[in-house]
Amino acid sequence: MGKSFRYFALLIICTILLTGCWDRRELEERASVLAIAIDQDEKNENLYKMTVQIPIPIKIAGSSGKGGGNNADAVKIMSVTGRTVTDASNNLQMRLNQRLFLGHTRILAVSEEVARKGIQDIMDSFRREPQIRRLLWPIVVRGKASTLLEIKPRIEPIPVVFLMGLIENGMKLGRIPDQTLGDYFNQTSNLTMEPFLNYVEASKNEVSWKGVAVFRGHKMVGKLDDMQTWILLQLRNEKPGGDIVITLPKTKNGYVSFRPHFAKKKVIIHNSSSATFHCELQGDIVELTEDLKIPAEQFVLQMQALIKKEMENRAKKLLQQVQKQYNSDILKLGLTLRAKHYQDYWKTHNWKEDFRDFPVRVTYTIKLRRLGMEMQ
Amino acid sequence: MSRREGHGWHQTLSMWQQICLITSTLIGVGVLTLPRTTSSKLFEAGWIAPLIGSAGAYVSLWLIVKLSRRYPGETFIEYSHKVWGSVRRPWVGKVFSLPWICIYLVYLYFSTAVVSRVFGEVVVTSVLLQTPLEVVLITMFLLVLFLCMHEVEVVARVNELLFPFIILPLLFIAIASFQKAEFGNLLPINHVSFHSMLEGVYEGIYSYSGFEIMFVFFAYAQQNTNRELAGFYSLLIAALLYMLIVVAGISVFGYEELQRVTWPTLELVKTTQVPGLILERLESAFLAVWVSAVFTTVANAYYVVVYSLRQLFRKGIRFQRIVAAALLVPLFFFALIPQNITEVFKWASLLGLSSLVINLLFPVVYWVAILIRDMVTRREGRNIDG
Amino acid sequence: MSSLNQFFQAWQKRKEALQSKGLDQHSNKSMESVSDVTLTTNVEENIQLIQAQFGKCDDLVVRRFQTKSKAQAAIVFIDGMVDRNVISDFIIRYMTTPDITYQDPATNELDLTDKLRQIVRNILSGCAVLIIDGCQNAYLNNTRGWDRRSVEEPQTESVVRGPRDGFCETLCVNAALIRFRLKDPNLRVRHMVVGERTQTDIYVMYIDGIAYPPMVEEVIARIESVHLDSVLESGYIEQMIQDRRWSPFPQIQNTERPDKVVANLLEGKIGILVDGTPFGLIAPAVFSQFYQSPEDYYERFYIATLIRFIRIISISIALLLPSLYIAFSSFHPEMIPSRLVIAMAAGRSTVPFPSLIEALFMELAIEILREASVRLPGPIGPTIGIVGALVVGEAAVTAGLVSPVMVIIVAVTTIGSFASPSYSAAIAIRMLRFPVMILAGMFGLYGIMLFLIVILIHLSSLKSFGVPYMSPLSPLNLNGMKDLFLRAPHHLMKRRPMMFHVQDKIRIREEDNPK
Repeated sequence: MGKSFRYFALLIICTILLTGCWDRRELEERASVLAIAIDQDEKNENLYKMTVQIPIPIKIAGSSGKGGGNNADAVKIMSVTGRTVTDASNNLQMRLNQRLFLGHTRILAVSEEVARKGIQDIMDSFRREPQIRRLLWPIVVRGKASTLLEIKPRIEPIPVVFLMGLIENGMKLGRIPDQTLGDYFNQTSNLTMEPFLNYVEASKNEVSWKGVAVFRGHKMVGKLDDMQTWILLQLRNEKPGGDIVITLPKTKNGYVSFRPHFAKKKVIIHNSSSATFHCELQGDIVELTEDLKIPAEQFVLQMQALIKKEMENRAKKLLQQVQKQYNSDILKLGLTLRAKHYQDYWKTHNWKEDFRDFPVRVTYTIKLRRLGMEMQ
Repeated sequence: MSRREGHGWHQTLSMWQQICLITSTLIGVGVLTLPRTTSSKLFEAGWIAPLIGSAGAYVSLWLIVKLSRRYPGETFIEYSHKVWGSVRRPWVGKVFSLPWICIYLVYLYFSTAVVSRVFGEVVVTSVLLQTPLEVVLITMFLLVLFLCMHEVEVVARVNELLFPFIILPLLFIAIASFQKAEFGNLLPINHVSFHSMLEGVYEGIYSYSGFEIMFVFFAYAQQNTNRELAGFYSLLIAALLYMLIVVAGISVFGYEELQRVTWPTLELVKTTQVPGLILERLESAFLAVWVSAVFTTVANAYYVVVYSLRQLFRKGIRFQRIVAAALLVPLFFFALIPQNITEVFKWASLLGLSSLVINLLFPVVYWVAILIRDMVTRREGRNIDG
Repeated sequence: MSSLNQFFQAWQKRKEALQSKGLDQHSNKSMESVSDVTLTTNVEENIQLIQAQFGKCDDLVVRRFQTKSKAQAAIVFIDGMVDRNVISDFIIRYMTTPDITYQDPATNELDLTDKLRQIVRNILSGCAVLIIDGCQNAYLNNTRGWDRRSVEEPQTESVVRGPRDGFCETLCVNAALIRFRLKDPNLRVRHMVVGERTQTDIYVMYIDGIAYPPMVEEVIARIESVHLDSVLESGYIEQMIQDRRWSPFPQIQNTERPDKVVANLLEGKIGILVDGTPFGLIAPAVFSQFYQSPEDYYERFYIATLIRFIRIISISIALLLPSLYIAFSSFHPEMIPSRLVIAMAAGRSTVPFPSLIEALFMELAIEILREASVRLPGPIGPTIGIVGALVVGEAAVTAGLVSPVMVIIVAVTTIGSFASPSYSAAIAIRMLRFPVMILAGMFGLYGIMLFLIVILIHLSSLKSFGVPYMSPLSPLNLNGMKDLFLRAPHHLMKRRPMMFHVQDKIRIREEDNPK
């Protein structure tokens, strides 16, 4: 009787006796790296310079009831060099009293210089490390990547939290693409598409999003500015993108601003030899700087035509750049081709080269729904 | 005054318990690698493999059900010597059935070792990085030992209780990951040959094995339940879940990326982000919940081994407990034989091959033997009549 | 269900075996000291005989008087256990007034015996024994009447909506409280006496035609086989007759509420009332006792279902929250959102202990506080609780010994553990919290899951009088699910729960309720 309970007790005692606490590491014993920036070392071209941002908990408001917002730096920024990422982080560990913890790394900043040389070697260690989250955001930084970590935004005590907010907010508005590390991995592995990453520029106190960096394989080949990226978002992710400001024809300094709310796209492939993107934008007029003095119905039609023309022009430029200049299929056109035209096209073509000359057209349908709070 | 009943629990497994037993044994560590293994040969169409594999598994399970119908209330161990023996010389049956029983038990024994090793690997590589593999194995084995202290009905009830912990996380992940899905990755489906289809099914065969425990457990099914249907439902549930996970894996990652990740299902958890959830990275939580799935796989198989030995030697529960404890020691060392992760996967695929042999060969051979016996006895009967 | 049958068959067999060995015979040691003789016809001799059994016992009252037929008589009783009015008005006056011609005294319960042992036992239980000269038989008058606590609201199981009366310490009053609610001639009450020295009366109550007869027999047989010298509370019986004595989980339910007992009797369970305690027992018990309250059936089903889920959540919190905190903060900080983790690290930065020690220390402090406030006299108890929690908690945080999050967690855990309607079930949960915390401190979430599986295996192996503890969840019974997590509307619960092997399966007959 009660035998099973005795075994039950035995089980517990055994586990207690047999084990220690190998993985137990308290929160405050971990140096949580919130962001990593990778640059090329100034002196030696073969070395990487890794910069990390580690928050200092005690300096952050709310600790032990003492308000910590006395403008003191709430984060520690450290730079090390190494031949590889692991080499650099080894060097970093030697300078820290706590163990490096990458579980909360949210931003991986890579300088444009490094990105243009190719980041395959960097990405490999991030692929293998189980602590790294697939949802972190790799970002290409203009100039030095470490500048992104050194900003002092003042709105948030921790710069990375500010940066996260910036990207998250842009994502929700549909203006900044949600390009995570996982997406980057998927897109580089996938034979049908090429990756792209967000591209930012950091100054002393500020950071601003400047569009995306286009990759071919693991190498950055060029960049798209914000307007082009919004087109890309509409054609690729069905995200609305940002406001479109257009000069009104036949006026001086007259502008009309269109805010798309919903985007829909459709890809049609004709005889596996050319493709058309149909994109439908629904949105409102949010600004009109000059009164056109025409009836509202006519105004709507006129504006729709105007915006359509403008958008198609911009899209044409985007395609020109992506196809001819960068030859990088970031539009996921190859995926559609492989999925729907495997036998008649994909088998016989090498998409990585043929994308350049694949004829693609873009047509827009603009549906102007409302004119804001003003009638006209 | 002892309050524990003796052998009063015969034939108590309800249909739902049978379904839980089969499904929770099927679903184990195989799921963690399933999207990779199935799409390695089938590419975009990897999700077909679980369907075909389960259909094949059903044939075997159906034969096992029929065997248990022919010998109601008897386990594989009990009816084996009836199948191989003759009425006049019972020892013939005992001798000839012994190799089959031995192969069956050794297979199950090693499968527990391999499954627990694979699970140990995934825990150690992704969540408890510093904890020695041995500790993970020992804790898992102690848990298994604790279950083996009990009677069959307790095993069934534990499976029943853990069933939602196995089904719900998989469903959750599959559904939650569809927000990141790229359905273009699932097409085209028609460019794989029949040959590579078979190869693809074979790659994941390891995931459809495990139902061979029913060689023993069907003996305790309630006699009025439809065991064929129970087998069908359980394989259907497993197949659908597998399919969902593979579809989710392929559509989120694309088959090219899937080939590069060791534990695709775990990566799938990493990629999923549930808006509004307080917790962020669910892979540790998933692995923790997944302990129950692995536990049911390991413990059910190990229980069958121990219980079969008890039946073979016609002993009681005390013998079962001692054997369960004693056999864990060599099992621990067997589990530690593979030296690295590639060897672990090689062992796992070897196990898949042997499960193919056990599951298809055994029921077929047994039925052939039974049919031959029937023919012989009928002829003899006719001879006597004439 | 067939398992239940076989279980009882096995039990019967073993019981027979025991009886043949002579092990199961009910012995009654303290009564054995009373010599088993019969009375004589002489009053004085008889008085001496009785007094000899009690020795020097000053509360034994012997009142001698002469009956109307001029015979010497005496009445023997124990002071304080009898109703003096009954003795003076209905026995002595009755026997001495010549107008009244009846021979027997006018009390509501009267028995005749000449067995000394029986006389002594009855005196001890509050009877007045009337001995008349020339008559060898003594009259045993039921004059029981001592000061008792009146029926009050139950202390441990208060409800917002529902009857306010609870059991008291008197067995017959408790039984009447049940009878009052259940006017069913099929309600059976079996009287038993347990405790060699305390001679405690026990009622086993069940409804004939609903309760499974072998289960009733099993309960009675197990109570019969209890050999304790004292039964001061129903807990003695509970612990002696439960299936697995080493299990931390209560396998017999206890309650102070007569309505709960009645509801359970109607589900085919068996009630056990013990004299001298307001806690009745209900057997068999299943896991759902942890979060079900009689109130669930009095409120409308939406709210009842919602409240059940809240109780389940609070029980889970009571069991798991501290260990989850340990696991998240020291093993899986990547699971906590980044913004929160920085704040938590800030809170923990001055704490000198690992989170496991911190949690154990705080939980221990709370347990001490809880125990202390139970022991303190009524008005001070809550004050101490508030002072202890607020002052100590605040001071510990300010001193940097404990992180603020930990205080919140401990507080929520403690509150959660009191949301369970069953006190003894909540104790089990509170106790199990500590091993989970230790395992979480060793393996993180993996350890928590290991422990949960161990508990699940144990729960699956538990049975209460042949009923699996986790039923109707396992073995699954869809009909039983109506009253497990949900509380289905009454008109949908047409059948009694099957798991107790009820004889009359139908609760609401279709023809009685025309639509």
